[in-house]
Amino acid sequence: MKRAWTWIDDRLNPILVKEVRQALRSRFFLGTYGLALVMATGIGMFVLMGADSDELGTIFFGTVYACLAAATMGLVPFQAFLAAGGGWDAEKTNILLLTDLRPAQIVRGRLLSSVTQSLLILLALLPFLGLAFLLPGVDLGVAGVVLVTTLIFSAYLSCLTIAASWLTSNKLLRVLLMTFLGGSLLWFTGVAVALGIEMLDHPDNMADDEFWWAWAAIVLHGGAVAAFAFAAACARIAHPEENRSRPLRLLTLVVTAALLVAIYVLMDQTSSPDDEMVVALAAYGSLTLTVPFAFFLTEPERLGRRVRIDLPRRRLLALLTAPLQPGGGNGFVLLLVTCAAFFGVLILAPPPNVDQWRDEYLPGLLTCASYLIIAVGVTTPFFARWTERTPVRILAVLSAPMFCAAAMLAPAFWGFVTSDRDLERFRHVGNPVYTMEQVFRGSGDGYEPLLFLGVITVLMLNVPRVIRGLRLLRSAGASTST
Amino acid sequence: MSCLEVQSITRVFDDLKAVDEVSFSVEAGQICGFIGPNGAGKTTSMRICATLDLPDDGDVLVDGMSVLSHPREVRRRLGFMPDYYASEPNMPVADYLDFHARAQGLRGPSRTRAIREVVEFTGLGDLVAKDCSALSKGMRQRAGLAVTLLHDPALLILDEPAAGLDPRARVELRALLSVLAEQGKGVLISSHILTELSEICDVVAVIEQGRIRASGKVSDIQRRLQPDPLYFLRALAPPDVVEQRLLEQPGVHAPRQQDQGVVFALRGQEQDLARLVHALVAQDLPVVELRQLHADLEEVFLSLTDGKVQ
Ligand SMILES: Nc1ncnc2c1ncn2[C@@H]1O[C@H](COP(=O)(O)OP(=O)(O)OP(=O)(O)O)[C@@H](O)[C@H]1O
Ligand SMILES: [Mg+2]
Repeated sequence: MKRAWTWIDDRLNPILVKEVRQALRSRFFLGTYGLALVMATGIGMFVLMGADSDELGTIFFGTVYACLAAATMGLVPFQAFLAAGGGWDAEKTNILLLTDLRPAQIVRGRLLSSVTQSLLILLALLPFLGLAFLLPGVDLGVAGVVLVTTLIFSAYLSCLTIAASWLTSNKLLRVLLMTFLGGSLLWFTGVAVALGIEMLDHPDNMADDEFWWAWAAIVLHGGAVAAFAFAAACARIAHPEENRSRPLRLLTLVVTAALLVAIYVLMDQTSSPDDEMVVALAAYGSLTLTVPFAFFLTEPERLGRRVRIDLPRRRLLALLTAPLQPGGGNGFVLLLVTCAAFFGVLILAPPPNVDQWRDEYLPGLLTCASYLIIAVGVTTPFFARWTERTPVRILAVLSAPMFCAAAMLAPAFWGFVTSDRDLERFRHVGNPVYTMEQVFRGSGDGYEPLLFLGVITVLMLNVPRVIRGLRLLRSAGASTST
Repeated sequence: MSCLEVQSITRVFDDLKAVDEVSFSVEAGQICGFIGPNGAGKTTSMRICATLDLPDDGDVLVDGMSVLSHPREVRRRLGFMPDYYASEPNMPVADYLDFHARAQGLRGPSRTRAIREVVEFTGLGDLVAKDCSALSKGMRQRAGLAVTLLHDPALLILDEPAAGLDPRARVELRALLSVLAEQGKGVLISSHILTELSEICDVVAVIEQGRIRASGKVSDIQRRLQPDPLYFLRALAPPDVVEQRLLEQPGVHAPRQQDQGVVFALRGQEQDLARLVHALVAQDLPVVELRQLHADLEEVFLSLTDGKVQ
């Protein structure tokens, strides 16, 4: 027994052990813990005395659940923000980096300690939840789903707050961030409690297939966001001369592949597969991809010394790794590769029962791809030479959404000035929603040449930095091999 | 093979060359003093050796492992004590050590043993139960040293470990470092307190404005700077007069006044010294003190650096 424990103890994440020990000694955690217990007891008693017997279980469970949700989705992630905030300061991070721990282990340790705290709180409230089950009106299955979902989202939120805590070390900004996170967590907890109670009130919803589809979609979306936050946190503590963007780039490819799989599964499952649905999902995918690519396309155009050392010795191989190497030029290569893979698969091997030669399928997909490439590719190359500086980088990232907003608003404004009704009502190519409507209606308003021109322009604008990036790779690969 | 081999590293911040083609090496069992004025680039160089920063050019080998290509292997072989102490709230020293031992990958009995040994060695004793954010300066240094020793590194890099310590704590630190060197570890230690270093360092590297001004044994550097032996002479006469008389003698050069007497260099052998004393006494100069000055780090430091701060 003792040997088994030593074996486990040795393999626990050191940060987890440290943080749990610290949390157990900290007032914040003990306060949270005590408060949850006291509130659950107090409110529970109150409810028990006042409510009529049919609903008793649901109301009691709902109350205890509210306490649990507030603690696990509100206070625990918030505590993760505070704890990580202390740990991200340069001095402490340096001390951690001097040990044998890898960045991923450090972030995982912090995350696991949040999960452990949530589990401890659940454990404390378990007697109350048990009591609720004895009362009439609580469906065990629903309650289980609600609790599991809560714990999953508690972990997701902790990922986000851990990543958010390194955004800035500026005191004032940290306070603002803290306020914002506090508010968001509170709001999120409120929504979660409302949803949880809604589910308890209508347990038969769960018999529905659609409920599970929605559940899976929400959990997977949250998971993708949390995974990005996790990878970003790891990247942040990795050395700047190392390839910090590779994990994020790989994750983008994985998420894109997952979306593709989801589209195929969904089309296989639904009774009436629909090409418009595929195009709509692809549009959704393109929209979300603009976020990571706005970051990849604005990375500083240089290879750190460690990146150069890690390059494959053969020049050709080094060139082939371009999409995964840091730098905006290489980011553009990744964008092209991702688009080619995602849309290529959808076009060449369409989902079951979807006809790729139906009117709107091909134009729809090509339109999505064009908008994605144009949205992130027009403004970013202009900043390429100065993105080493953080303010320029931030500006470069923001330039993409600003460009999109301008493309939407400027023609409308022009329409307002010249009293052009169509432009005034956002009926122009700068508005992707309108363009997609046109595609579905099959009345391509002559938008194709414009989009095509846009894509060609973006390609021309980005060719110089892509070439520069590739040259850098080639020379670096060659210099390390000698 | 050297324990630490710094090969012409350069580090540029914006347009400031904080470290400029710095090279030196530390052998196993050697204590190397790294001295230089404020802003000379000591911390920057040490951070590069400890893999926390990367040189823009050049490389550092720790036990033959490059900080550029094998940072993890380097980290396993060295213990770095920065010039600050990062304490953790709500954590006794024992847990702090336990955490670092785990983070260094020590498991089971070997972890317990490593912790016991470093606690014994650094004399932390009963302090292990104290909260680690509530330690005094001296105790922090001990805790810091204990952390760097946990994984039994071959090379120790200590950034200003003696700063802020009282004389007794300094003597104790010195004793600890000597023991570590005897165990065959290489030690690189930076400090401003030169007297402190001269007593324990086998070799020194003097850095100023990012460049190494001299490195090697203190006596060797001294000899290179000042090939002739230095003497101190005091007489019952004003130092001006003494200096004047000395300059009249053959072989005397570079005199300067110090502590009511005169320090000067004398070209030649001991016979020349005897001849000088004879001549001075023959001139009725009432000499009361004459002694040879030995290589002094402070002396070396002051003559090598010109006090410009970056
Ligand atoms: N991260 C940094 N960014 C910009 N400049 C830096 C950075 N770190 C150090 N410097 C500069 O490099 C020079 C060398 O600094 P360093 O800390 O290495 O000196 P030091 O010899 O350790 O000085 P001290 O004795 O005061 O500790 C200084 O001019 C410093 O301002
Ligand atoms: Mg320093």
